[in-house]
Amino acid sequence: MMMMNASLSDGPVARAGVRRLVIADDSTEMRRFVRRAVGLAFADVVEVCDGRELFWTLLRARFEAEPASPELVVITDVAMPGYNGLDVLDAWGDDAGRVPTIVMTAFPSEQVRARAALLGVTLLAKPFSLTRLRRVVDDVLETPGGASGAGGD
Amino acid sequence: MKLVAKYTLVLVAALAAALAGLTFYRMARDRDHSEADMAIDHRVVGHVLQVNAVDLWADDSAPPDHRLAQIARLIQRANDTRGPTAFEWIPGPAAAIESHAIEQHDFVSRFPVRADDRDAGTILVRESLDDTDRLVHHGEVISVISVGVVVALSFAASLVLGRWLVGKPIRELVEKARRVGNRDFSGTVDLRRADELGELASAMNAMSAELAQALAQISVETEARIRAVEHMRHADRLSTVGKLAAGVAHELGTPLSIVGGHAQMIAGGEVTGDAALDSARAIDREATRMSRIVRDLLDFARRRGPQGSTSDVPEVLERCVALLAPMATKASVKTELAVTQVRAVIDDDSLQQIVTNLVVNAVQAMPRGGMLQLSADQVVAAPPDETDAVAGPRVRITVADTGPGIPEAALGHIFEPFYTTKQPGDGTGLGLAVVYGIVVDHRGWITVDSSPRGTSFSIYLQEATA
Repeated sequence: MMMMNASLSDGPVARAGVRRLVIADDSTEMRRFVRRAVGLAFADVVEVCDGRELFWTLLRARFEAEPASPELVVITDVAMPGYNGLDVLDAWGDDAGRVPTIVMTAFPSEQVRARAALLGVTLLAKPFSLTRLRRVVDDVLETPGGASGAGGD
Repeated sequence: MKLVAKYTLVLVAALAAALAGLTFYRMARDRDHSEADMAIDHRVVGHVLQVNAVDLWADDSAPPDHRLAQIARLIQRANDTRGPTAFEWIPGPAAAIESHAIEQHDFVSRFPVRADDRDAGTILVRESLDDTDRLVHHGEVISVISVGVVVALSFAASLVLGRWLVGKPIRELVEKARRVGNRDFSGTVDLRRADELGELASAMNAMSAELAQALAQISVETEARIRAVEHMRHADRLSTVGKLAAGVAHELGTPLSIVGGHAQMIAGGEVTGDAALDSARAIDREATRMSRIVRDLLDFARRRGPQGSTSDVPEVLERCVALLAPMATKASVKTELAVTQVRAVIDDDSLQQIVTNLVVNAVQAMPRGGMLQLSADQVVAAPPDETDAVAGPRVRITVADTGPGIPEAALGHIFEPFYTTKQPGDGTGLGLAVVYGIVVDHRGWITVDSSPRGTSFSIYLQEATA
């Protein structure tokens, strides 16, 4: 896979990232895998296992504005106990666009695509390959502002 | 032949009464006639005697005693001519006019003898009625005997004719009716008569043929209907399998990503040594999970055929809960299972289909999460709709959710095929209709209780005691 600059798609790179990755999924294995797959591109990685925790994490990041607090990038599943991923982003309102978000979904239906577009988040359809995951994360990291529209399929 | 006997009895009784009446009337008339004849005879003789006696009495030339004696002699001489008639002379006051009377088996005529308003006496003419009586009696006996013979002959003739003309054909018709009652439409009644019984026979033959045809048609229609119901059940089953398959595909998305990702990392040399071992273990775990998910679905979809017609209810409920657990968890639906060890008269496949349909409906009714309660217990109950139902031991399986409930207006329709409140394409609307059909087939019933706080479906099935 040929890439212009050093990116995850080339393989693991040294921690060059300055942002914090938030992984939200109820499957432990999935969180572990995503951490291993793309975690090295970030300063650090935080794992949450349901919608409520994701919500509070976003809230803390927003309002505890420590100067040293890194910007967030979110990778989240949709179907989780408690609030589902899209609901959380919905509740977050306009600011959702500020936090670059990748939403993993098994059913990218019309409805889901529409919501994703509205919220300015990137869709990643399951099952996905390692390559695709890394490419999507690359896109999100490279795009200023983070949101790259419908990057999944 | 009871009908003919009755008929005959009445007719013959009437005939007998008429004959008897006629005979007795005629005998009375005969008796009157003979009495009249006797009266005429008496008069003829009586008048002659009377006239002579009056002459003798009116003769002034002789003294009264002499005259009376002569009259007595006259009467005496009449008596000498020995016949059935006897003459008597009764001197003294006489009645005004002649009279006739019956006194003690004798016909008695009285003729007064009078001249110039002076009574001499009465001439009595007496004749015995014994002979007449005997004749009459004789006649009576003959009449009674002949009436009796006529009655007996008529009766016998009627019975024989009745049996032959009516009894036998009616017996044939009755047997034909019995055969039809036993669904045997063969054998026409062939009477070959132009009367009412012949008409009846023709009508019955025609009716029997029509019934045979109608029954055949019904049986064809019923088969067609059964096939249609089976198709509908099959369609629902496929639809359920489809729904579950969709759920399974959903489920497989995560483990597949993990397996593929780790495999790619290993193959690309990205991970080596212990890290590679970790990845391999992760692959193993997720592959196992996927196997379980797929196996659960296959277990459901695979037709196991008639496994005996009873089910272990807790086992089926647990299996359904296991299969649908991922779907429930994702929807934030908490599941509670409360079962007693009980067997129901229903095969595994059907019970599984019913419970799955109800559980899927319940979960779909709670998109924002809620509580799903499944329970099975023994109760004593009777079907609410039947008037002559007997309460007996039943297995009650309840599926309850905490969704928004079913509107009152819809409650009457929910078991109708294709009735659905879901979006088009989001469900066939067959689920509850199929549940209803299966429950009814197994001689059970289903009740629904719904409020804005939730809906609860209860299925009542027969308990298997074996």
